[in-house]
Amino acid sequence: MPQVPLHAVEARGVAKKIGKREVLRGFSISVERGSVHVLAGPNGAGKTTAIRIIMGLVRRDAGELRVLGADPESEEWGEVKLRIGYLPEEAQPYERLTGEEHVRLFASLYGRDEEEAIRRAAEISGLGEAMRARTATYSKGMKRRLMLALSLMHDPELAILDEPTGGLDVVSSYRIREVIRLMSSRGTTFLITTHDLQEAQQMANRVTFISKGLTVAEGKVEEVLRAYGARTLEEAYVRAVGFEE
Amino acid sequence: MRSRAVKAVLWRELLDLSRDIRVVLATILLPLVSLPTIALMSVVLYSTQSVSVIVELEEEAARDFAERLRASVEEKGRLLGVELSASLGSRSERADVYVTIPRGFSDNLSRLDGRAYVRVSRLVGSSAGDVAYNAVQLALSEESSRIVNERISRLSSLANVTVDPESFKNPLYVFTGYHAVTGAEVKEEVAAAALTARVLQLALLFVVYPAVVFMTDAVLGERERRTLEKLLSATRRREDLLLGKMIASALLGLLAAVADSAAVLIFFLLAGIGLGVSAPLALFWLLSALALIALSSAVAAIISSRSETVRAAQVQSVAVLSLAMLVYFASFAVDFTKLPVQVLALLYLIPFTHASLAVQWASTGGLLQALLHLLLLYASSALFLFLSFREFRSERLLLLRN
Repeated sequence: MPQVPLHAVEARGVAKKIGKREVLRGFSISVERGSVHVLAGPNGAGKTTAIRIIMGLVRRDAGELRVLGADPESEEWGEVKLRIGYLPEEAQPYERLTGEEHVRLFASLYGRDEEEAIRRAAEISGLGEAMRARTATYSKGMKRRLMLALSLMHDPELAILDEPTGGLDVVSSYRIREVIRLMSSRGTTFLITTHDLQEAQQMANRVTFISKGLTVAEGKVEEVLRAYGARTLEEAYVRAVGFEE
Repeated sequence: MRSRAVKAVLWRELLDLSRDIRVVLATILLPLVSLPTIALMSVVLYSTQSVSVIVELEEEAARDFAERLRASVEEKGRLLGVELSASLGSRSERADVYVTIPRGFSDNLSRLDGRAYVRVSRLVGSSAGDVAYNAVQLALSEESSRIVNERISRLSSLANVTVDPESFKNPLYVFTGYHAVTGAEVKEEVAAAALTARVLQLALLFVVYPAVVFMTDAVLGERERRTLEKLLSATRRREDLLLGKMIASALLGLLAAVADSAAVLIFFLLAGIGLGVSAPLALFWLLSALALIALSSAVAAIISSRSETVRAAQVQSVAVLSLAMLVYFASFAVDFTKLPVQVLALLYLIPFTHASLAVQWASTGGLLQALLHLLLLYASSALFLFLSFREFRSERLLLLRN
């Protein structure tokens, strides 16, 4: 029987150059199974590139990476990535399709039963009757909730959410955090990027700080707070990287 | 599982496009309605032009001739399908053509070797002037022929011989037929099919255009609307995603191509040009169109994978469309098979040429040559499809704008 790796994501010294710019210079992260792990850093720190490398959408130039026990650049990745739920930053739905039609599309891609997926997506998104309406009529928050539902409706082992609450109102952000809490309590591993460290502190039990493409701190939230003698993650982050942009 | 992913992407593309009613109207219904309407309107507008001819008489002795000419011009107007009025009058009245019969006309005409002069003046820069001029020319030519017949009769009675005026005037009579490239005689239907083939070669341009537009939007449009990354992350193989998009693009491209080509054929038929379609011609056109759609979609996918924006891709696509335009407009006016080898070799390097030649050969019975060009077209399409799948990489698609 194959051994289940302890870490859902294990990256060491990952580097990536885009054009002449070194976006990642030594990115490392260990996401424990069942944890809510926040990858925090300012805009332009390399969070999205790191996530895309983890998702196998972008190739790394150097470093070691295993996601659910597989290398995203290996042949087996096509199968493995369907066990992940990924919500890209600023991902948008198709304006001329209804919420339900989106669910049917992604259920087919993930190889899941469509009716069951619709039921799950409605539960996660809380969109109710609006699931039958075209997404052109949705508010920003409703669109984000639908996209989140599309990423979680197949009950993935690992959910990777890139700025899931970015730019949303209080109610929509709250609903999304509640979904994360609930699914985490059922065993789903979450890797979430954010530059909002107050939010990170509410959701996370583990955290990685990234600055200028480099991992500067990692561990349980309380460990990181203790290491930097801080009361909040915001304070710990500023102490770890200074005030540099 | 693989076919399920391709089907899902295809279903999404078709559903989305079917709800974009303006695109459907613009690409499929609009040409089908607009081209025949243009032809019909042209015919209607042409026939409702009011065209006028004035015959100016400078000597009373030529009145009979002038009356006959006037009546003949009006009759020719009916033949040409326009409202043409012809009257005896003067240049003080407005007309598209003035025919002046000068003094001395009757004298010159009455002599056996006399040459009578008629002055014709046409309105400059006017299509009504051109129509009136054609009617007058036809009428004068008929009058001239009638006068020759009279003179031949007079001469033959003076010489006391029997002469058939028509044989005397036209000792050579030409029977026109058609032959294939092999030299074998062919029926008139084949000639009509060959003409249709030339029109269909021109219509191949309408096959290339929608496929390029649909494919560019299917790739870059998705990226700009921020829907692509989620789709890439949920598709087991990126090839499935591209294949689904290509099939959707091909289906819509084919619909647009059939509609556009039908519209072009209707346009030519309404314009009074006799066309005919043979089974091999229809089959080879359809097979060429299918390969051409695959080729165009593949080229558009390569361009889209390497372009930063839809606008940039469209600009580059114009270069591809220009090549197609060059080939298909040229094929309407030039027989490629009669070009020097060096020129033909260059044209053979452009895959679009083989679609044109396959259709041309199929129309004249050169099925072996048609098949050969079709195979070359399919080989080019396969090569570009292979390249498009290689170029369609998520990293390239996601990072181009960074």
